[in-house]
Amino acid sequence: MTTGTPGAIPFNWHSFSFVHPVNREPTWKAKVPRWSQLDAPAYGLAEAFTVWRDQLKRPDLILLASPGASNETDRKFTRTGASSPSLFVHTLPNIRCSPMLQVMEWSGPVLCVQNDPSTMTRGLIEAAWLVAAGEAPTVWVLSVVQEGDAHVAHVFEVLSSGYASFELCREPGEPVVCDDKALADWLNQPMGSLRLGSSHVAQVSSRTKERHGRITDQ
Amino acid sequence: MDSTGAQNLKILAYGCTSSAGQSVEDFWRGLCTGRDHSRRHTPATRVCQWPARGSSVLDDLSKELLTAWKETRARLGESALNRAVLDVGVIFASTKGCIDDYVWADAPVENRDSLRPVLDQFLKEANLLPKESICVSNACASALSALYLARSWIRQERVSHVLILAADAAGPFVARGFEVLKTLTPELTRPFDRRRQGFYLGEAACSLLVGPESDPAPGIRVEGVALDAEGFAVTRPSAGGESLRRACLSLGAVRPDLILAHGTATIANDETEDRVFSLLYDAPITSTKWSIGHTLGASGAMDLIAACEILRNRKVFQLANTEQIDPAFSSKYLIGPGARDFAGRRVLVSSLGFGGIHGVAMLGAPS
Repeated sequence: MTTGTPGAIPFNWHSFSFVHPVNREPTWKAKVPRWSQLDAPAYGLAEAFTVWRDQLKRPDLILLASPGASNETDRKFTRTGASSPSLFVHTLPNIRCSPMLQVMEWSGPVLCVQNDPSTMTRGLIEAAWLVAAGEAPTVWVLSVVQEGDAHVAHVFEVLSSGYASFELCREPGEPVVCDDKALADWLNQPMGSLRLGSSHVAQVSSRTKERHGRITDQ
Repeated sequence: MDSTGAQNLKILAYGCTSSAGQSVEDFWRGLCTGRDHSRRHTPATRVCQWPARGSSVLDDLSKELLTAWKETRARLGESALNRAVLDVGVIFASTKGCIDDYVWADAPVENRDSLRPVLDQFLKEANLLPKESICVSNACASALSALYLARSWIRQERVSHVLILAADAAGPFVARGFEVLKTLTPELTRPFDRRRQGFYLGEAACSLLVGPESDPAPGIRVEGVALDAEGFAVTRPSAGGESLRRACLSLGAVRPDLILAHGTATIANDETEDRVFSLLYDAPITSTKWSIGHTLGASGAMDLIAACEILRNRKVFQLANTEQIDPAFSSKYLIGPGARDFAGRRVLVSSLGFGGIHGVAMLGAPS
């Protein structure tokens, strides 16, 4: 481990804010047939990967952990009279990852987990356990959240070693419900540590190489 | 130990409800007698192959899960049950949970996923206080994905046992979706048949208790479980079935004596399974969806239960609705009504889900 705290699991956080639908063709359009039919989360994850690809280590396992699952697309499907095949396929929450895999040209284990109101938080905890156990040296936790008229795609890169902006420390304690909003607020203004649940706290790494990145595409 | 040297799991007990009835015995009897319990849904209503019990899908799902859990407890015995529930995690696998309860309403609703409320209500009614709990929604591979996660939790020593719950209700939302995708058959579900046209939707609720192989209670061994997602297309696997092939190969060199295929009777699914299984194995193929319909997120759990029953009873059911195997296929298939003797020791279970997710598990007879 090269992180500041012995035994800590380093992680980087990238977030990408975007408005959907877009009025320009993405650079990855050739890899995803009918890309214009993608829902916002599926588009956002493919675009987020494209934006951050040079800074991300390819994962051994992907955890999809979006608060609200596919609620937004579910409601769109019913509002169309439940007659749109392209909308229906995106009502399965795991599907939002598929276009990104096409752009990445990656295959491997993907787990779509739900645990509202702490889905994203729980995804980070699961990633920490998987990395610590050596089951997957690099795990991505992916999440897309609607914020007003925009969406934010979060990419957490949880690593077995290396420099990172943040770290996850195993620290047993009283169970708390750290909801996804509290996690997002803390990531934007990280002060001290944040207890994620009964087993882990998140904190700023003392050996940060660079700050986390944010991009707004609005 | 599996191919990586890590400890295997055991399926210690299980229970289920489906259109075949309120127990594993009903499900097994239907399979072995060639009885088709599935039926076509009527537009804009629940498929409702369960008796309508509650005032909501949430109530129905949690009550059906409770029935399945009670059967699991009864099969396990008191001492093993007490040992397991002291240090248990719970994983709920489903595609859409109780989506129909709120998605059609015009009024704004709280932005919560549709799975966690089902798990919370079940835990309350079952009076269970698990150390860990989570929901998995990996399309039709959800149940095998839950088994994959359960193995991680037990190996990480976070819990000693995991209760896997799996259920889906085929309400108007799901039924309408599969209608527009044109995957529902106008007649019977005929997996691997030259005249196959898709499937009927079904409903099921399952409960499987898994523990470490060292648990003294008897059980069916989980010799391997693997997941692989590919970036090929959203609704169909790659033509060569590369992702399913990778999942099978990651189970190691162990070969099955029987394959319990996903067998949805769609053109793409059956082609992919035949191609991959004929390339890797020489075991015969059967499946369950002709009898209870496609139970979506619960289908992998129903197939795990069917595989356990095959290994326990040393009998295997066949594809009762299938009359003539697609001449383009190369695998061996068990067709016709009734059951045959089974002398093998290993059964491979496969699940293919939208989004290009593939899950496989190798179950082994008790040593």
